[in-house]
Amino acid sequence: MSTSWGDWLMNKNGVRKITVKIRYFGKLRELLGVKDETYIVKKGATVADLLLDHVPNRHSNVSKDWKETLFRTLKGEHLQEKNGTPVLKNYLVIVNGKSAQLKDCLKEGDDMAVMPPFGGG
Amino acid sequence: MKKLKIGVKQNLDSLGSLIEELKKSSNEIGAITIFVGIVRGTRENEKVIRLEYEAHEALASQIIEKIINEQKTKHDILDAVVEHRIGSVMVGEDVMYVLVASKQRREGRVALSEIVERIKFEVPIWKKEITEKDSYWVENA
Repeated sequence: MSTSWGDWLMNKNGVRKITVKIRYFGKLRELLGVKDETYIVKKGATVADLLLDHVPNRHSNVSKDWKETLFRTLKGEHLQEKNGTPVLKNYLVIVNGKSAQLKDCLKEGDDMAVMPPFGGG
Repeated sequence: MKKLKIGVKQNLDSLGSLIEELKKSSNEIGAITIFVGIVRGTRENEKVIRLEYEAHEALASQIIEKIINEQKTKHDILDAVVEHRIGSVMVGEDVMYVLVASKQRREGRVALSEIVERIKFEVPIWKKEITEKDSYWVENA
């Protein structure tokens, strides 16, 4: 089995992995210090898994700022929908050019962009 | 509509060349209505040095095209051009051109206003304002 980028990956326990790319813009790019990066995550991982776990884990020095910038909090706690999903501020997540929800599952090769409120003109 | 011209780029084309290009696109054009966005030199009481723009360029172009096509249907305009700069833009420099060609001036004016507003809120472009004292990411509100 090939382990090149874009191919299905499998770890020692036989768990299927997928590769996804994330692009950051504006204040998020500045906060993380990167324009884009690649993550290898478990098949079935959601947008929320990337934004709440994988990204802050990799950027642990700014993880608190990352979560506070992206998600609504009340008295230091993340607000959650009835189903337990955290609540994004007015940030937009795009996957392969289309608007995505936090609960959406990611697929191999997905191109994800996390966008702050716009400021053109 | 003969040709859609959209650009999210480092430098704008000259306004004169854009007008000439639009005029050539149809002999039905009776009016070209223009918006020029310029970097303002003050932010409240602070002196602004420059603005730094970045964009999701592919998506920005797609959304601008969608906005223009919707305006064509809604207001029966003939053609439109949108160009927006990215990168560093100094105070007093032009940052955005929107030109709308129409048969009559009225539909051109209405479409121009709507296109400019929609670009501010729907197109993935971000700007950082660099002032003498600090810098700020500006969110359109």
